[in-house]
Amino acid sequence: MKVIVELTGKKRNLEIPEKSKVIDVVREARVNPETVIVKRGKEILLEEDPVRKDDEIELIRIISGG
Amino acid sequence: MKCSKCGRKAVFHRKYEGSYLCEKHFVRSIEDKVRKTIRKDSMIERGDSIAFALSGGKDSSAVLCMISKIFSKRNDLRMFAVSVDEGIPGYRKESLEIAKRLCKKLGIEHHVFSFKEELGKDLSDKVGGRKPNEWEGTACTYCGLARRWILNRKARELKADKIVFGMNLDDEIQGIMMDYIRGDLSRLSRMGGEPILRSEMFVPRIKPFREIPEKEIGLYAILTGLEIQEKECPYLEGPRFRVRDFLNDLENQSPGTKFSVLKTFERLLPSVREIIKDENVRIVKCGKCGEPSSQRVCKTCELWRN
Repeated sequence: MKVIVELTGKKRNLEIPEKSKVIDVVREARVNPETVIVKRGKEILLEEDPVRKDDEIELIRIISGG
Repeated sequence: MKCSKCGRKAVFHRKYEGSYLCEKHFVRSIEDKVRKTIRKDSMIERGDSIAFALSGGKDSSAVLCMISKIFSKRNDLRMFAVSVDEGIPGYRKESLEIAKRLCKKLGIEHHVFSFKEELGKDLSDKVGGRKPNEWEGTACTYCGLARRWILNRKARELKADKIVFGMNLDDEIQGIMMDYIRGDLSRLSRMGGEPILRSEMFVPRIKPFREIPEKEIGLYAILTGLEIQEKECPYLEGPRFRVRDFLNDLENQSPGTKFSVLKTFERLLPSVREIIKDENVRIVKCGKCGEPSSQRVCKTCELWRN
């Protein structure tokens, strides 16, 4: 199924298996889960939360940059 | 998943302690932990004048916001913020605007100083166009030295008793690992939590977030409505960032690794201090700028004024 992932203002489509969880999306986006907070709209998501087809998932980078 | 404390929807899974926390209990847990850290290491004392090193990033914004909230009823404390504009195109301007808005919202006095005014050059003038060298002379070395030099000098001139930094657990253990890697026991011996007065010329630094993982500060900042700058500094380079990624990989595979590094270091700290007690260098005034230094000319003047 397709989900839309937004990272630092850039959106892209990701193809992931049915019944995937947030952690699967983060891994598929090649991001270390330690470095992002995941949101769907205003909702903060946990790694084990399920994702649905066409979800817009935002990965907010929280790693300090100097 | 439900909050382990109240059954509301959880916003965070704190794997290293096996708990799930809702928004309210997550925010409360962070503030309680910071209060405990401040008390344990006697970071803030009656009548203190406290300068906040404020970059406008999530850590320095969150520490200013939280400390001013925790101590809102303490009329004996004076708080103000100091920001440094390094002159990093496309990066620092945005965070300084965030810093300015935050201080205005909190009613905190805000002072901004720049590399250009204090040292005659922006960071981009100094390091722009050069090739990164992985082990010495990175942009982060130039920038960190100059930033600390300005912050200490200005905090002292503004009569601060302490400078608060937003360094979190991740920053702290990256520093510890870097000191191990470089074999710098002198610097390692100063990585404890309590404020250290090395010389009257140095304003003691305090780090109330040193036991809070970076990810949790990020979530705290989001939940409390702080503005977050997601951009990374364009000059970011050097081994520290490889250490950062390595520690994040380990934490991801074995939750609790970061705390383990800090706690082990704290157990070793008295021995480290014992080992270097005879090596402690005398602090003198730099012959060029008059700031405290372990050499005749301080490292900032050596790198920036030659």
